[in-house]
Amino acid sequence: MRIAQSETRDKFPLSTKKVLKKTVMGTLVWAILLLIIWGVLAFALSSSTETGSWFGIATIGIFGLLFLIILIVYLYQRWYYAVYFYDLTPDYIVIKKGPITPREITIPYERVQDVYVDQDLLDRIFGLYDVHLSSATISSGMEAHIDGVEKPAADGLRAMLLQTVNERISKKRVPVPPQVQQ
Amino acid sequence: MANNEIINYIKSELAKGESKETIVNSLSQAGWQNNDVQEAFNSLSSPVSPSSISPQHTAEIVNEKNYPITKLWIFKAPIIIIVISVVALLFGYYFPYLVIALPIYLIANPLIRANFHYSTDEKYFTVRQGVFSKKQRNLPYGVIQNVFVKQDVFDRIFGIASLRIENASQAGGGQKVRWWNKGYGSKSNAYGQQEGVGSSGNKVNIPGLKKNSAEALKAILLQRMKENPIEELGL
Repeated sequence: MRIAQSETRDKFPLSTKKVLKKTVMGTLVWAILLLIIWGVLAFALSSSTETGSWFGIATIGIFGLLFLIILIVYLYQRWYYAVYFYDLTPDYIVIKKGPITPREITIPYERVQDVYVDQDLLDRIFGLYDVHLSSATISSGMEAHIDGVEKPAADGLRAMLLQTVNERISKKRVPVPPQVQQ
Repeated sequence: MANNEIINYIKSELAKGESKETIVNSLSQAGWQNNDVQEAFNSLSSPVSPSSISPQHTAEIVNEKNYPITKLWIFKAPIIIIVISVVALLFGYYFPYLVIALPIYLIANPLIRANFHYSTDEKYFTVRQGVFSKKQRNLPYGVIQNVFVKQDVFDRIFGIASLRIENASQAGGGQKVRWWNKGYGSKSNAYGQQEGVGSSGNKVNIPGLKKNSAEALKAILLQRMKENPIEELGL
C-alpha cells in the first residue's frame, strides 16, 4: 500500500523492522499463553492413547489460532506503518498516526520543551529508536513521538529538531521571508 | 507587503536599542526585499491601518459561522447509543440507563451546539459557550502549545473531525465539570459519553467539524500563532 510520504520521511525514514517489532510485541503474550495451554494439554493427554486424534485436532486448533493472530497483527502493523506521517516543516512539526482513528498533532518549534530518544528491550534487539518530543502539555508528550527509526535517522532527527528549536527561540533570530510553496 | 513577523522583529530590536541600519542589514541578509523592509518601518511610524496589512499574510477573522460544528454531531452520541443497545439486545443484554441517556443527549446537544461560539480575533482566540451559565475564554495565540486534529471511528465514517487546542495551563478556564460535557477529552466513550465541547482545563475542544473545515481552521490558527509570538521582555 501507498506509504505516507513527506520530505522528512524520505530523509529520516521509519525502519521496516518496526513492523516486525510491533508484531512481536503484540503477539508475544498470546504466543506464550497458547503455547502453555498446548503444553499442558500435551502433558495431560500423553498418558491415554485413545485421545490421540483429539489431541491432534486441538494442536491444529491452537496453532491455527496463533497463526491467525500473528497474521492479523502483522497486517495491522503494516497498515499502521504505511499511514504513519511525520513532517518537519519550516514552522512546525506535524505527526499523524493511526490507520483506523487518525490522530494528528502539530507543534510549533518554539513550543518544543525537550527532545528525548529511547529504546525499549525489543527495540534494542531490532536496533530501533524512539524519538519523543513534547511541548508544555502532558498529552503532547504522549502523542508526539516518531518511533521505529534506526540510529542514523534518530540522530539526524534529533539534531535537526534541536537546531531548529535553537534558531527559533534565539533572540537574535532574524525572521526569514515566507518561502514560495513549490 | 508588510508582514506581522517582520514588524514584530523590528519593534523588539528597536526596543533593545539597535540602530535602524543594523536592523536593515540583518533583514536584507536574511533575504528580505528592500521595499518590504521600508514599508515595515513606515507602518511602524504611522498608525497601522488594517488596509496596509496584506490579506495574504494575515489570517482573516473567522468564527463558528464559517466553520460550524456540523448538525451531525448532535446525533453522534445518540446513534452510538442506539447501535450499542441494538447489538447488546441481540446478545440478550439490556442497558436501561443507555436508553434514558438517549433523549437527554437529543435535547442537550442542540442546545450546546447553538450556544457555542468561537472566533479567531486579532490577538486572541475567543470561545464563548454555555447553556445555562455562560463562560468566555480568551487564549492569546502566543501561548498555544499544540493543535490536535483527530477522528474516531464514527468520525471517519461520516467525514467529521475534532480540533483541539492546548495551552500550558494546568486547570485554566475556571475548570468545572458538568454532566453533559463530562468528556474525558480524548475518546468518545463507548457508552455514549461524548467528548467535551469548548474549553475545559488546558484545552479547547471543537468536535464535529467537517474534516476540511478542521484543516482550514487549523491553518488559520497556525498562521495566527506564527504572527503572534510571545513578546520577550528584552534581556
